[in-house]
Amino acid sequence: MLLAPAVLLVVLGVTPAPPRFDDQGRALGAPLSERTASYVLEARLDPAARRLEGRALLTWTNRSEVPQRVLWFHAYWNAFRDAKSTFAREQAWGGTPRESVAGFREADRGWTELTSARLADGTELLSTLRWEHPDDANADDRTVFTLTLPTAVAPHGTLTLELRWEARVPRLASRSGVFRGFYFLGQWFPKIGVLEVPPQRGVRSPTWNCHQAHASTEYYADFGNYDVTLTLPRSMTVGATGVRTGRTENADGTVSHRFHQDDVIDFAWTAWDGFLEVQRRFRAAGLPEVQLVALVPRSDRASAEQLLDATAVMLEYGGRHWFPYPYPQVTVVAPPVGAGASAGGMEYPTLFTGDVRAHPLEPRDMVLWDVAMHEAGHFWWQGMVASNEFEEAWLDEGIDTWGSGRAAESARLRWNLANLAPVGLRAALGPFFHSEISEEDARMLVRSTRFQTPVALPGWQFPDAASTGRSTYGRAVASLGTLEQVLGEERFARLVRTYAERFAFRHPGTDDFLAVTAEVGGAGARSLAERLFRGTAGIDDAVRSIHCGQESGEGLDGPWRCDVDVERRGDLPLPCPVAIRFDDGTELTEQVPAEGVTWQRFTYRRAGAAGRVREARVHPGGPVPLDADPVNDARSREATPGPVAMVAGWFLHAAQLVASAVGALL
Amino acid sequence: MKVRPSAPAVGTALARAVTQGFGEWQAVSFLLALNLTVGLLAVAPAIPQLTRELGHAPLAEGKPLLSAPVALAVLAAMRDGARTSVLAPLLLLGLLQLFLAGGIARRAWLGDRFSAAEFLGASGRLFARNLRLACWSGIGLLGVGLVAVGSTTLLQRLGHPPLFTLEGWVNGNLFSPWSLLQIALLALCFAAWRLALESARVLLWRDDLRTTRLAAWRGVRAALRAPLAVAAFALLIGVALLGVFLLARLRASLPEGTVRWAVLAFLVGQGTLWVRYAFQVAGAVFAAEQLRQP
Repeated sequence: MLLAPAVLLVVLGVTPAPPRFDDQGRALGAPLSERTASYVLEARLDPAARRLEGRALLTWTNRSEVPQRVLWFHAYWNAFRDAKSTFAREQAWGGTPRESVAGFREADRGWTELTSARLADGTELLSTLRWEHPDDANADDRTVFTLTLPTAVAPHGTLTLELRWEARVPRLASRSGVFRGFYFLGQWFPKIGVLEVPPQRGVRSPTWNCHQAHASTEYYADFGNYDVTLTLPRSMTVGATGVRTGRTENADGTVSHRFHQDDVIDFAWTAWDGFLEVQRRFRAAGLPEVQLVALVPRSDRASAEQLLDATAVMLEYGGRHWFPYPYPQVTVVAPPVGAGASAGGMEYPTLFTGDVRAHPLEPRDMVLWDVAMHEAGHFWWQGMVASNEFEEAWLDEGIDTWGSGRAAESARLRWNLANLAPVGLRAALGPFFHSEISEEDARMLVRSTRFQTPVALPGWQFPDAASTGRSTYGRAVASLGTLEQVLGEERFARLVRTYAERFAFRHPGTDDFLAVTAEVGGAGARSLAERLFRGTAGIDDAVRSIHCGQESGEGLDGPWRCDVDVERRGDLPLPCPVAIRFDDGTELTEQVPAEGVTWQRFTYRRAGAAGRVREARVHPGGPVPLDADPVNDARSREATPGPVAMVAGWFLHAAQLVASAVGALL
Repeated sequence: MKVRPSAPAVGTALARAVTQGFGEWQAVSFLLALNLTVGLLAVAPAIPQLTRELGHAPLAEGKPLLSAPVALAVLAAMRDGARTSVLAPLLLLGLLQLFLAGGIARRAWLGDRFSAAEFLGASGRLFARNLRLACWSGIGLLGVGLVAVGSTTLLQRLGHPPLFTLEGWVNGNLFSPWSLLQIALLALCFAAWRLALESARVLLWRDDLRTTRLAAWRGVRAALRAPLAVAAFALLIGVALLGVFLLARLRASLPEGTVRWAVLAFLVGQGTLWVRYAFQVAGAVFAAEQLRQP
């Protein structure tokens, strides 16, 4: 019987790759990761009281050559404890793309409190707990703590620690909490920090990397195995990282759900009595099969189908361009309408949250697809190629946005802002918003010849949330595109694939990306990448003017002089070819030096009016993706009144319509 | 005692209002010229920088506004100082439109042969009073706003995403019963407010009222006593919106990127505004027709 589906797949020409995990989430063969921090977690949720009680059995390995006596932990939910946490202060000061906790009443707040920390021999460590503030001097912040052991963990030794904690679930605000009975629980258990060991991410000695919860950063954790048992009311449907391995009905009306997954960096879960579960099998030749599960509000089955379609496209794209997705399951969670801004669009191992629309556009709703593809792309970029989201968010957000953007291009997805309108208005508004802006360009509408900060910067060190977003998403994508243009598509694809394969299930940093860039593209490519990601330079290469005239009055057939002025704003050291086209149809290509020139004039003296320069264009092969203003790459001698008339006409039309709307109130 | 207008009477008034509104091309021209002037004043400051940016730009030729090179060039022009002017033109719009209100009320009531001198004379004579009346009518507009906020809050509490929120915009349905109910409620409130204002303006002219508060109150009474007329006025607004929308959509559907297409788009745009202002005059005529009812 079991052979029948396999035979059918072979007949259909779909030959899947062998699985890397069994259907219980356990690795087949050698472990994929070092499994530095593994957890057995048990948690009981009491929705009536919004309380969570948990027990964690942590097995941690000291990867370093130095004995470790002090262990660092995250207690993320204390970010929601009060208005004094670093998270709350940063939200109040720098803004947030998600719901702010500034408006939280006392009843909305959440916290986590360690009640016990015992070694295997029964030694209680709670008295050694100390709140730490590695990123700022905020003594009121309680999102990072240390425990001090009576005896250090020896180099490469292993420690088992039992942690018990109690928590109050906050109102859903920033990826965790409850909204009208919908629970989404991320960063919900005391999670050990990452002990970085040389040469990992450039550290010179073993160093704990354990940052406070910030308003505009995400997370960083070691790989391990997770075996989790969640006990909650029978009415609730549960989804979580990994695969379900058991379900036990309890006498008190609760159900214990057990999940397991090897080789992941985190565990998140959701529970709600309003979920509809939709399942499907992902099959593609040469890639492992994956069970796709969507949990969506009951009335939104149409969204579920599209979320799974988008996930499948991303699994296939990532599997073919980077490396195959190895886990046996993907769980897609769509929060109910109203919770999307706080919980939607977030990535976790084998699980992500997308959006839901009451009336999605068929067959592809860009709102659903865009978020789903981006979050599914995160399975690689940070989920498996586990960079530090606190310190180098561009390595996951930037590369993922670039990659999922390419996948969207390959699926020919296009934005039309009218699709954001309610049903009944979309078709009517369509012509007003028909856009030819690609996904990649749409993310990079704010460009500059000189940026305020580098791309590679710890998240909390950007001036504000908007700046963090612009730098780590759009600007990183344009920078990657610029590097791709210099290296060529094939070499750049090799670069990304090499980086992905080499650092899968490890913790790469910007230096590692640069090293692979040097290996694939040479020292020049590395130098450029260094400027792109660690510098602040932008670029705007432009043909500023074309001036033609006769130096002596010998009539139209006499000698003509044409000056073409090229200006280079910004100081990215990129080659700058210039194509010159003359009225007689002849063309030639000049070169502006990559560095040290901000302005250059090319002068031509030719006989006859037909020898005048008609048009000049820098980067004739296509604009540099990071270019602040690609339209000034080319300039014609003759005026082009069409675009001016068109833009001015639109401005005038909009102004007139606004004036008439205001006039309706007078 | 006033008699409530019957449905046929309201229908006749509506037809007469539309006919006269579109026939008053001189008054409509004044309104359109005012709108165009305001539009030009708003856009003019941006033109030199746009010309510098796009005046010799072959890469922008034939491209629509929402294409990457053009959109980026416009952003670059704005970064380099291209700014539209907003507040001053809107202030001018407010003053001049209130100035013309007196002339339009006169046309609505008399409907005789058009004379620019008499039109502007009536406008000037009633300008100060129309300014004061606008302040009184602002109270009514505030009421309409409160209905909008209140109904939105109520729908939210009931768990039906209202159209006037981001959530409702993305997830709502224009044709759901709740959306239609809210739109109908707001349309009727707005129509009642606007009909009251138009009636008050006509009363200012007809009765040469000096006390604008009195005119405003009489306008409100005239509107509230004739619910059928309010419904008809809402229909008039709906038809006007539909006309404007269809023409604006036609304009948006035109090809872009050349001067010829831009000129055609400009003309269609003016046609759109023409329709909108013809309906505005029609609204004043309709209010006058209601005041003529015994």
